Amino acid sequence: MLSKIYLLLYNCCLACGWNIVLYQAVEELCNSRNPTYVYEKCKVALKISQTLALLEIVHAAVGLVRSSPVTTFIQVQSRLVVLWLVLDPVSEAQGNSNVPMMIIAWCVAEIVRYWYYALSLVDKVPYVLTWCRYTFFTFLYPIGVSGELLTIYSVLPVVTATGMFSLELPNKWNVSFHYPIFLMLYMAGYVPYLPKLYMHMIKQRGKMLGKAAADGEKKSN
Amino acid sequence: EEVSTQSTGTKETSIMDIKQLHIKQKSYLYPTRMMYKLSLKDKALSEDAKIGDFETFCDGSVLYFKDLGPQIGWSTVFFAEYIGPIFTYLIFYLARGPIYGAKGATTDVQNVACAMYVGHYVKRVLETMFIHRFSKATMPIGNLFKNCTYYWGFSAFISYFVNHPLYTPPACNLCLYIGLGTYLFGELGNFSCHLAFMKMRPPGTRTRVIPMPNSNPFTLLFHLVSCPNYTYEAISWLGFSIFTSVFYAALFTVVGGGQMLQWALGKHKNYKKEFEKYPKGRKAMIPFIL
Repeated sequence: MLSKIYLLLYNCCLACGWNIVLYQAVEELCNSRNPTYVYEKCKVALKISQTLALLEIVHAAVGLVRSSPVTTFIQVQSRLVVLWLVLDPVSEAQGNSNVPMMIIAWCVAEIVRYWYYALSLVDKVPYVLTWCRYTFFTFLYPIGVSGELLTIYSVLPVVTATGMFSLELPNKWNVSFHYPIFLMLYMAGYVPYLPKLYMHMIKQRGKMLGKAAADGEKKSN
Repeated sequence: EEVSTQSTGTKETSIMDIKQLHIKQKSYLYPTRMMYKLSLKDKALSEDAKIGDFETFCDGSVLYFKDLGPQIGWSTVFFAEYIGPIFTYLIFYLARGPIYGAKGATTDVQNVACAMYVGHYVKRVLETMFIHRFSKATMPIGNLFKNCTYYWGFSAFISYFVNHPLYTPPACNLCLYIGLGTYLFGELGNFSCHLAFMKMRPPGTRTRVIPMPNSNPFTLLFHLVSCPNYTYEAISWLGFSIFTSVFYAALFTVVGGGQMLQWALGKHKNYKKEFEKYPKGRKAMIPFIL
């Protein structure tokens, strides 16, 4: 019972947090009509909302929610890598047009997701919301992933030139780390993942929308 | 899991006979990739088992079948897994000119490290040839690619940094001796345990006994853990990491140790399930702890 209240609170807070990010991003776009300051305007709310998602890994690990902690970890870390290790450290890349595209895709996806979770807890999910959750991904995934990949790609020149996050020999631990190469491998890692995730969601869509429609009929009868 | 009904067969029909019949229908199958069970919760049936052995079995009873996928022999796998790293390590040790543009010869530390690393895998190959007795004949072929990537990959990473012209040995000479000593201790201990396991299982049998120490003092660790071979192996790699002071060697120790701990926990659980009198104080791999 207590856990339900906590989860309800968590999901509502995050839904509101992402709402704020979306509002700020869209407002800036409407006012200035260019992407240059979008990140600047919404970055505080964005950082808070996205970083709080770490809690979801804990929720899965302690069994508070039924997801796999490993899957949750993969999803959360991929956002955090792009946000904290790519976008935030490289100010030169923050004004590009792929940034608002990525942020808005994240916002819409997260707002739908958190409201869906919140209302699921009290068993009051309107069919519309279920439909959104299991339909929006069809274009949000490609848009979001494109945004992420373009963002990572856009920081490569700066990262290479400044040697940021990189480690050179010689050192006590005999280890070297080339951040640009790591980022390129990271980008390659998206390739096997997106089709698998996408097809999984398509399957889920068939299951959940069918079920939701049947539930809706039952309730009205 | 596919379900196949057996409506023919006498009490003398064995699982192997059933497998051969099945192969006649699907020629891509072969016995080691075929598994039959009486129910989803049971263990796999052995090929020698006969229909008459199972009281509940009769005409029309259901047997569960699973295709385990393409299989490969254990010894093949072990050789690939263990010989690969030797070559991968030696490439960086021997071809330093072409790879790094290095001019000078390797240092003493780099030479000894090479002997330690290659020696470890030579020992493994010899053990596979002469000592290990496997309880299963094959494993799924996917494991081969996964395992080889792991072994060969880490080997390349470690070797690249140990043999690099800018390699920095540990600051204190004492570390070198401690590292080497720990490594030798681990290797001897690990070998002693493998020998002990071999003696516990007579050739050609599938005997399972509670592991106990023998006259070799290294085997005393059996009193404290179910899988002292894994303990010693981890110690050995710890020694190598201390000796070389290479991050990827330490990482390999942690990752390998973690995997072995997982295996040890599984084997420990099996031992406890199988033997009622299994010694209570024993842990899986880390004495007194886990």
